[in-house]
Amino acid sequence: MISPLFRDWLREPLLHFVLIGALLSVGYRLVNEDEVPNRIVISQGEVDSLAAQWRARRGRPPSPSEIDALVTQSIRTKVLAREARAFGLDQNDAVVERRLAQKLEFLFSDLARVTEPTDVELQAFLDEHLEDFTEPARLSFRHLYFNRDERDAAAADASQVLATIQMTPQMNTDTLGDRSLLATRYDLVTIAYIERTFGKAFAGAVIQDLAQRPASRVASQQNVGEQSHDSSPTSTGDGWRGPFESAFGLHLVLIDEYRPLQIPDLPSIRDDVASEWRRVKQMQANEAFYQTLLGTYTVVVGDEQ
Amino acid sequence: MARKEGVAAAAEMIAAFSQDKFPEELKSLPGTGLYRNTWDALIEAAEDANDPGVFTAFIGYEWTSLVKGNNLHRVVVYRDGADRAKLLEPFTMTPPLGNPNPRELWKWMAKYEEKTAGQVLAIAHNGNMSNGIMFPDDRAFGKRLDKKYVEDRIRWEPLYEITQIKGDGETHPFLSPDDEFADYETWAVGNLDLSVLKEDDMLEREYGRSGLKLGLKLQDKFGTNPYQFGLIGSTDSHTGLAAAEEDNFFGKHSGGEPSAARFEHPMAKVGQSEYPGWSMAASGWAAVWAEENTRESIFAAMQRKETYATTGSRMTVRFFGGWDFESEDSANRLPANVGYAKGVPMGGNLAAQPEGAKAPTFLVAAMKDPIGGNIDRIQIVKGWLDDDGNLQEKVHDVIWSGDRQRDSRTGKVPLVGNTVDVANATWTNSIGATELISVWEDPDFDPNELAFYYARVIEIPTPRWTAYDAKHFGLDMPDHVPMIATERAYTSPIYYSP
Repeated sequence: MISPLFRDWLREPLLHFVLIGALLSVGYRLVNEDEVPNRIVISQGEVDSLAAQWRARRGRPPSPSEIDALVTQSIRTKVLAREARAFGLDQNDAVVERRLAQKLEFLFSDLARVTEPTDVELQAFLDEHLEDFTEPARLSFRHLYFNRDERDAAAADASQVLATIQMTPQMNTDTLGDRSLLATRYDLVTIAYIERTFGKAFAGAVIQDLAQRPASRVASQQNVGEQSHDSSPTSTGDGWRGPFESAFGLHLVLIDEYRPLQIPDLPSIRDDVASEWRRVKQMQANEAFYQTLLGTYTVVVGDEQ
Repeated sequence: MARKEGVAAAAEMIAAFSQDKFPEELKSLPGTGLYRNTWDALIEAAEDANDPGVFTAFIGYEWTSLVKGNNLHRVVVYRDGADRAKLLEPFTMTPPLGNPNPRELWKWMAKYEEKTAGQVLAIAHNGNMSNGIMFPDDRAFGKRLDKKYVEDRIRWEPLYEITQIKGDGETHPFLSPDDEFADYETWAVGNLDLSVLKEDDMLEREYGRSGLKLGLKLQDKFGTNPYQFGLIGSTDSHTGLAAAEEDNFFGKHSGGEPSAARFEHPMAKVGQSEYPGWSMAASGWAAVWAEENTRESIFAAMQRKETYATTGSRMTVRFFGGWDFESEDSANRLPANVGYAKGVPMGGNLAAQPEGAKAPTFLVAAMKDPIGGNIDRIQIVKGWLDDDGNLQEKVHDVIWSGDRQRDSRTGKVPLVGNTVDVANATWTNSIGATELISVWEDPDFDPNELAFYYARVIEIPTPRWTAYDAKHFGLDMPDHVPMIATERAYTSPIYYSP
């Protein structure tokens, strides 16, 4: 009967790594005659591989003399590399070190396969990373535009029109105000979109006005806790408001729908959450591996005492 | 200092590459593991960022054709996702899996579409670094132009980059002496590595407006216009940042990021010739009219050329051409509706002239960038091939802000003025207009002549990035450094054929 502790230890990726490393190292020595001093071997497999790379680059197989040249070059590289290692030239070389570190990290990533998450784990992860998965607040609205360039008193004109509308709520507003290249209505656009289109001040003023209205059932932008889990629209039921100032002039605004920040339910976004969870877990595993290795070293920075 | 060395290394690489002297051992070529891995990583980055409806990221690559330093770069853009893009490695410069001749790139593009059933298009960089080989009208790479060249060129290159950091490429004062706005961010020193300096006879075949005109001549000769391209702007930045506003300019590469000294450091320098740092333009953007923010929709818009270029502002511009626009249409609350109903949008071809229609009419409108300068004026630039076989151009002021009157002698509309406070890098929108809209009819129309029309929108003067740098870093810029910019937009042309 294997104790749970031992079983956990058996599953530890670092252990697997050390065992595999040892096996590889022994196996490598057995298989590789290169380790015999002053003996270089270019196997047929290697020759074929060099020829294949040549073919991919040049679009045709190498000729016999070209193969000779490739093999000669390969031998040259191996001899010089061996001698270089003998001289310790691979030590304290930043490029060599970085490449080796990278190879080890790749190897470990392959070994440390991250397990499948449970729903409980995913929900906890989702709760911790809400901002990454929330649907931003959206607004549907119509507006009437009053062009400052064409009117001496655009704000006063806008206020007057507003008063008229409020007195006759059934009136057709389509021909009021001025024309522009702006759309006359916007459907479920984000606050960021409104900022980009009309300017930040306009977006801020409209939202703040909305949040302050006692009659509306709408969550204010600051109140993230009041998120909605159903997708039914939260209408405001209030009429035209304003005037609000944008980069273009003055506007009266009628909000048709405000949909607050939404956090989708786990089932509807499970794949996205799982994929993000795996990515984070992999990063954590890589870091844990490194920390374990680091733990076996003494580190001295600056002059040795 | 490490940063200086990095910039020097990059310059050395570009110089070596330009002259085909790049060390063989360091070349990363198709067919190698390194190349494949890099391509896969690029594809993955685009797939990761692409979020249909929210943020579109295209897969693509830059094909950096340099012939003795003459720049013929194209950016290849894929409509497709990873599954198709991975099937064929990009085209390079080195035979057999590459070639500096654009005709070979088009062959690669055809091969890609055949192999994958996908779609790609190529956008050439601003031709001002090509030293006159961007718009050949007789020979290209030693071979005479033929029907296949003109057909292939427009088939694969529906768009052209008319403005970017390395200068504005719409026109040059030498080519357009009557255009008072022609000399904007003009780079005319030489080619990319300054191995050959600029000569006047190169200009005609490397500027956008002139290229559009040459296209008419070739259309007359071959039946197809190879240069009937739509226009976009871009940065050509190699920083991974889209930061081309005057007050948010991060330069072309890491050496050009904001610093007190960046205006002085040359972008390239050979002997006595250089591209000074201050001459970089904080430009530009590609604007696209598409139904939705997805790869498919934006790519389709690029293919039909419903695009416009800006030099870094986010103006909204509409341009429609038809035979019966009337002045009342400019009062319409839904100008785009009447535009599409009565005509074709930017990038389109005018319908056949109906009975009784006198001349083409155009509905044009521009709205200012919400955080930018007001609009000074909208112009329509006409280019045509006259009955004597000569290429002509004319810039028409269509509508302008305020109550300026056209000068009866010169026909010009006076400049709008200047509210820029250079020392503080500010301006006020007390001149210019929030929005301009108008209908214009061509007063010199001749139904026998091939012609194109594009709209050019010009903003009031605003501070240039050099003014923002000077203010921020407390610098004293020499007199020759421009401190004021007049941003502009250029729409894709609308074409007329008899």
